Amino acid sequence: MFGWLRRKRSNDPGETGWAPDPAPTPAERRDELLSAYLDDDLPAAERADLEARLETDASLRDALAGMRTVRDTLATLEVVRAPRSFAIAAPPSPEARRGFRPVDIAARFGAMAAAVAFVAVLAGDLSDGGPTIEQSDISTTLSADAGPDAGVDDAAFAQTAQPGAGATGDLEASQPAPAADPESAPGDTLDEYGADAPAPDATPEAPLLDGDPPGQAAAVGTAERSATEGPAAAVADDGAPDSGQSNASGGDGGNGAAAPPPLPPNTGGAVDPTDDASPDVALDEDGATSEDPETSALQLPQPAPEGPDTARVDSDADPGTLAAESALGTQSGESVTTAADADAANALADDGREVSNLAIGLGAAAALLAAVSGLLWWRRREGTVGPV
Amino acid sequence: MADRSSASTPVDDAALEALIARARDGDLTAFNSLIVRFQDPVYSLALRMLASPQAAEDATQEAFIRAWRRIDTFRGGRFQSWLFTIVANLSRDELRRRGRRPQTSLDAARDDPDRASLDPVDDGPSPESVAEQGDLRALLEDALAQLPDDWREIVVLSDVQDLAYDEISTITGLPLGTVKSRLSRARGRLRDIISSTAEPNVVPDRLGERR
Repeated sequence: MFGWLRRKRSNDPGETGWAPDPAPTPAERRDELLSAYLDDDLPAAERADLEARLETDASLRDALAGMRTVRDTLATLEVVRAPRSFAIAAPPSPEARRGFRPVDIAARFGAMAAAVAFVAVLAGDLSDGGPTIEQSDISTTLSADAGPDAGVDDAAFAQTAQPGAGATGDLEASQPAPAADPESAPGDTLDEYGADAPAPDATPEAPLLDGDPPGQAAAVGTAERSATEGPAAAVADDGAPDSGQSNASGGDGGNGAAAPPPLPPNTGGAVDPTDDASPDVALDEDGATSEDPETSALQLPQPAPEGPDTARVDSDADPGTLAAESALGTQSGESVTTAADADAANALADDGREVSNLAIGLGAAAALLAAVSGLLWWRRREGTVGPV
Repeated sequence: MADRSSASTPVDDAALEALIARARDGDLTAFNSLIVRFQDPVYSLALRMLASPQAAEDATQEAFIRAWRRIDTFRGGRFQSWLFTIVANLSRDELRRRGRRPQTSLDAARDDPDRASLDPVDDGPSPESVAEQGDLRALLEDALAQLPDDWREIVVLSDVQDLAYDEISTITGLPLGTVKSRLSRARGRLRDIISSTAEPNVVPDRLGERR
């Protein structure tokens, strides 16, 4: 009963940010006194003063009586029975009750990252598909086992290689017949490919002596570049004169008597004819390649400045290189075997890259699905909180 | 000002605390027991604030769902007051969405056949007194619907739910002085409404008895 006296009377409206109600009218001020009196919330002095006024003021007594009736009647209203049960249906998980947590943020970011990775892997896989096939086809062309799988590019490259093969006669049994087109001059072939091919970098490891025939320059230069690819090119150096003659012979059946046709500028750019500063000379002064296998062995195994893939791209860029590789590589059974091994290794690498991409893609897809499933599960659990 | 809700026995308080503790640990069955225990006063407050049974149901259901999700924020004290805070906030949000005074009176709730059995009846009153009390309650229910929303919330919490000033201040977020001021004005307005609308044989006699 006296709890009203113990209640705090502070609570400045300014402290809580609430604007006070408008100033009370005299009637409202009277009701404030009566309401506090009913609740036993008046100080003793004010209470005594009010009780004195009640003895003499009938209207004040009526007002107090009416307010007391209201208060007492409201107290009898009690509660209204709920029309139904408000029990909650399914037990949500503790994390659902605790709302949004950092793990949920991590899950969402993980889902987004998985989605981005998945798309990136897919895009990379699609973009890698074309070049991989071309490289594989080129490898097939360069190998002596080139079969009917060789495509149009293979035939074109084989045309370049055919004169050299004709000179030695070794390729006749192994190269596909359609590739031997006597009407096709090597220069034309080189122009055909050199027009679109970027000029290979002139490396100090591939010099030529002054006065070297351009055809030899092309042959030796490409042989030098082929040397950077591995053992097959090293073996091919032995056939450099043949290669040079074959390039120079054009379509005369490969006897090597014809004058060498001019090389396209890009091919000349591959080997600087004036550069004789390098001790790694592959040709003699008269344009013939050195017969000393040791010299070739010393010259050719230059450290590869780039990886096999880059070297293959260079081969793509310079048909002369391909011609030399094809012509020289097929003169030796060892070179054929080595080229086949390299191609197989490249093919395996390509396959491995594809398998790796596929595995990454599948993993990303699985992670994406897991993240999305987790998110859906979490939302479903959140949504299960509801009335029975 | 008697606190009717504090009339529970220590055994009840202990059982209530145990239910709250289990609910905080994630026991939905315990929380549903709390719902069964408090759903009537929570719904009553929502109904009297919103003057719409359907809106009161929605607010009550949402209040219990919100309470379940945030039960770890309950820092002790009276659990009913905590529930009142939630449902009062939801009811105020609903009133703000309406942007107007309630259009539905409490007649719909009064017409509920279950409600009659809940209305308290004085011990040993005469039939006439019961009738007068019923009429006066009906008048007051209608008068409540005519009050401003912020006044109605205060007088319901104080005189219907029998909460102390400080509890009302906590629930509404209003300063204590504002609570007292609005309560006195609400009581005076209700008195004036009843005096102007009640039949002479009902209110004057009742008021006269109090003199």
